[in-house]
Amino acid sequence: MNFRIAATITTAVACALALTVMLNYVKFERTFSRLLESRFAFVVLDLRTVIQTGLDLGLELSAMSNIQTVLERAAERDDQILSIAVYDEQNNLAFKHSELGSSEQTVPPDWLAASQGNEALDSYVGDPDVGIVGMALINNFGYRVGSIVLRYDDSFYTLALQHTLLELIHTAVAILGITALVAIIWVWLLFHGINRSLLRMQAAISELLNNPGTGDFQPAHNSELEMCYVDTEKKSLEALNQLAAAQKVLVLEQRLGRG
Amino acid sequence: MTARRIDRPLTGLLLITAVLVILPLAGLSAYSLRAFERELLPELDKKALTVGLFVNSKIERALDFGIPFDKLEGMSEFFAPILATNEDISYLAVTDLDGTVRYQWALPDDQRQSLAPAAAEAQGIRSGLPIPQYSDPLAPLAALLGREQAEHNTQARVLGNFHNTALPIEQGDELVGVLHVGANQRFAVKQMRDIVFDIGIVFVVALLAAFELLLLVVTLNFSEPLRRVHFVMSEAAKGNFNHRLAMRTRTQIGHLGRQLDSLIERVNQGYTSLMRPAAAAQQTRVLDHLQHRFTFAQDGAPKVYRQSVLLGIRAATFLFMFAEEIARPFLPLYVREFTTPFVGISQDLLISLPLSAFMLGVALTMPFAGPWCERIGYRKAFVSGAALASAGLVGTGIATGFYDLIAWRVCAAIGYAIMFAACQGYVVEKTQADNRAQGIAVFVGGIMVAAICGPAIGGMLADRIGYTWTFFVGAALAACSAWLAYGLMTPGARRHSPQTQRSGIQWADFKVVLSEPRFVVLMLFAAVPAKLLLSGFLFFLVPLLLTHLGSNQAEIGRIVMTYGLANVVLMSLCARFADRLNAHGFMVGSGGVIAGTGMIPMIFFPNSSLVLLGVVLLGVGQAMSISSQLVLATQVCHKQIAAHGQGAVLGLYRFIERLGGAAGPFVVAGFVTLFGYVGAMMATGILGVLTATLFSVLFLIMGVVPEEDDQDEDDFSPAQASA
Repeated sequence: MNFRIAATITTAVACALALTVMLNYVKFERTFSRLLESRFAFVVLDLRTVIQTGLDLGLELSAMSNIQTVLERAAERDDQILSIAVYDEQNNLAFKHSELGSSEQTVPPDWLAASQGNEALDSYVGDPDVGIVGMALINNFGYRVGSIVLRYDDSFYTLALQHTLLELIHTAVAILGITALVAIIWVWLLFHGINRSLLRMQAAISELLNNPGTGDFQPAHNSELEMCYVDTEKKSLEALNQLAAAQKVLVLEQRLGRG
Repeated sequence: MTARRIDRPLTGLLLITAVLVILPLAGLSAYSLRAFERELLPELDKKALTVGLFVNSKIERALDFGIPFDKLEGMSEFFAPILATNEDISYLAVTDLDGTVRYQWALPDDQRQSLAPAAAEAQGIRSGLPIPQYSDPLAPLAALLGREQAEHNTQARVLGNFHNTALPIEQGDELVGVLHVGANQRFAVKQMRDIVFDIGIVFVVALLAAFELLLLVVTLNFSEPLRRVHFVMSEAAKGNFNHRLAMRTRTQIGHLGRQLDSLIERVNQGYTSLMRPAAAAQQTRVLDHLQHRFTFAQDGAPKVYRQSVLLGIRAATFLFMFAEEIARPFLPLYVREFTTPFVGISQDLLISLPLSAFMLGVALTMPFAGPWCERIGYRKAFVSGAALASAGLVGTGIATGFYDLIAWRVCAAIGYAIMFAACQGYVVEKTQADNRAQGIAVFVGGIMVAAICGPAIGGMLADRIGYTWTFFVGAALAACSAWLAYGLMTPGARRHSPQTQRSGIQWADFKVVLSEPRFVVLMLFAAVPAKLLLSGFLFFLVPLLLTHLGSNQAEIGRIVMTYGLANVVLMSLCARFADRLNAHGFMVGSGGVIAGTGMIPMIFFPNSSLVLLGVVLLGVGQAMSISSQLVLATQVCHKQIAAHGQGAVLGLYRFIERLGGAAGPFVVAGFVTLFGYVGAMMATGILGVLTATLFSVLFLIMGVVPEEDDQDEDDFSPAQASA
């Protein structure tokens, strides 16, 4: 019984801890990812402002040769930036800051699908270790004339999440272990008196069954059950004695009858 | 032995459970906060550096055009939008080389003096050094758990409550000033504050669930066996040896029970041995003498003393209702994903259809479910109902289209109705007239606790793991309830004699009951609107409206939960108040008005606090009116009850009421189509107030019983009616 009760308490605490780990972790994951994205979004917005100034002056995207320098300067500032690319109206590569793979010669199709176009800053996780933040470039007439896409290394982010989750789980398990121990000790303390009383009564009944007539159970004065047992013992002894006496009477009468 | 003495360990257990739930949650949350600070603050510093480099390049560009450092114009206007779009950055400031602030935006006054050392440091160093490690009060615990302390390696310095990133500003080759970018050191704390409510909810729900489980475990393993031991001992102490316990548990109580059985068996063996050998006359004399003093088992086998434990069904019902309530805060939002407006039918009307179909499914299944459960046995029926509901929840989660979604909701509704009928039937079977109300209270208690826990946890889960997985969690809980019911409900004998309460509805009952105008008024202006408001407002409109107002799932769950909370706190109080003053009509009328009134102010100040007010007042109003409606129904139909039985009248009452529930989402969706979400809330409130007012006026005119029956009124006790 003690084990079942302690297990129930531990299960409830385990469920609560699991939910709390989940809540904390999801909050952390969202905050971390928002913070990370916002940093690269800031870079993209800055670059977009520079390019947009040229577009507002009526320049063609392909004619703005300074974009290359701007991209390289921006990429130098942050070693997590893998690449920054500017794509033209047909989604073909116009400017880049580093050597891009063949798949990056056009706008990443998944990002394009997720893109809201116009003024929206869109982010997308390409492969597990690469995050993408991009934005559309709009000319004076409100038409989309290209896009700017920044790829960054988010492998450390995945690692940080895994590390944090493991840390939370380890801590929760350690706390749960302590809780289980406290629950077991508490339940034992709480039921110790009752269990001792039950054991005493068991022993008394055993004694009564093995040696009828020896009932001398001393109840604890504050135990209602033990007091009740004393009455039960007395009445049982009385019944057993009377049954034994009746048996003797009947045997005697039977013998007398035969005689 | 008094119940209080037996339950004393339970109180101690509940107390320690509360402590054992709150301390780990608080400890884990505090530890999480520190862990998050360790991970997030360096990232925040990187962000500050990115912003700083951008701002610095703009300032240096201006300086390159030859503008003197102390004559830069429009710096505040330049800083303000950057801070507005980057909420994690707290301030931007430019100081002279001596630390005097030249330009700033959002720089706290007490931070001005702190910038001087940072400015001096920025002149000396261009590359980052580790910032001073913040003091971590949980560091010893981290060390104990083998956690290494990560080192910050950024350019930021801790200045007061901020992480200050200082960047030198150059004009040509000359250092002219320092740019400071401040990020709040309490950033992680601010983020974690958002989930404080959620962790509070986890605490409350864990505590309630733990109490439910503890109540069950302690009752099954301790209180009830001890009561049985005490009963058999007391009987033996009075000389009655005709009861035994037949306990099978391996606990101390079980051992004592078996010992006690041995003692009783020994006594009875002694008695049966007397019956065998002796001559009839002598035997009779001796036996008479013994029988005068003691009671023995006549056939030598004492009766097993056992009482049905209804707590098993409470736990199973709690889990089942938890599973059903889990989707409450997001079901309309989930349905919305499957709907596209048809010609002439608005999207909101389409959203209401699966909700109405569920209610209609329950209403139409209930009349048949009662007799069916009686026929196959309540345990089997509960398990079947829970299995169906579980399948319905899984199906809802994986539905691919609007029509199969409706089909799965109907499947869940049939399961719900069967489970509900099985519970009611089981309680009726296992109780007598004198303890039936208590028995029903046991299982209704489980439902009410679930109404608090389910929406709150459901909203939280949907927000984190998505709708589909939350439905799966609900399905798993429903399956657990089936397993629990199978283990804890004792299979009863199949009934051959008619029950005291008829569970089915017959069409003839409609004619009889609907001929009573007071009953019609009660149904039309109180019972049906109450269910309509509940399903239309709480189940349908609240999730959609709150989403419209920008609340997330967890917030919706918390607000929906307050309805159950108000019910739990006030229901029995209001019922007692109404019984004491015999003011059932008043409670129904005023409860209806309160429920409706709470929804009206929304039109003037549309915000989530007023939705909360509406939900709380709906809970208060319905706590006042629901139990009184039932009593009124039995009062106004006492003649029909006398002639056709209470089961027929109340069965019909429930049936019509549930039809109101089925109409609710549809009616309120109509309001949404006409007036929008905010207008619909007000319209629903007005409908509630109007119907409650009409009910009050008509009952004031008609009275609870006809004039000629007034003399009989005193003979009819509301307690009898509610029983």
